[in-house]
Amino acid sequence: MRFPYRRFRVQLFDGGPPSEIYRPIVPLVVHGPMGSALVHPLLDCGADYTILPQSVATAVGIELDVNRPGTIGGIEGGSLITYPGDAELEVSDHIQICRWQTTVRFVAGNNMLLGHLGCLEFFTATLNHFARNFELEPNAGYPGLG
Amino acid sequence: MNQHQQLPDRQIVGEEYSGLWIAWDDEGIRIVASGKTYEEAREQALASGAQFPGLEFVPPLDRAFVGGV
Repeated sequence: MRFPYRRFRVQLFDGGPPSEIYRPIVPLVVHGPMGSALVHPLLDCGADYTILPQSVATAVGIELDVNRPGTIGGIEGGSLITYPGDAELEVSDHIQICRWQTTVRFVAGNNMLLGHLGCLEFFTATLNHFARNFELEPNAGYPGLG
Repeated sequence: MNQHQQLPDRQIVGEEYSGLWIAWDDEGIRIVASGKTYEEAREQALASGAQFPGLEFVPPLDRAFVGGV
């Protein structure tokens, strides 16, 4: 599956005028017992977990296991409490569809990352910044292909 | 072959959306709503006629985004 990078206008640190930057954003459908939601998380090969907002879990009826909290941290030194929830995730480039069951870590706030557990463990990712696209191909870890 | 030709003519995410949730139309081409929360942006998008809007949070403009928390 091939996806285009998403264009953002940002202020870089060079003091110049705003310029464009490209990020690997993946259209992701989150399926739950009460419905489905389309979100656009960042593909993050440095993230251990797949992280989505609790508001998304609420929207589709995914129940969180509050007895199994986990703390995640990032480069900014902050930390967030996450709770696991069972979800069915789906990505598609309108040619191929991949849909799998997994556990997602849900957080209060706005963070959305597709990390190793829950996503990249199932795919081989190839990022081509020059061509402004990236690819996700199911690997041997993808359910049904192993 | 110029691979750029394969890309859809998708709207750039502008500075005005810094720190906000945005909602894309059903084709994922145009931003149809924005809000301070996921719920606000989603409700606005549905009210605008989108059937299955795609929601995305735009990192604040004054902070480089590295995927961390």
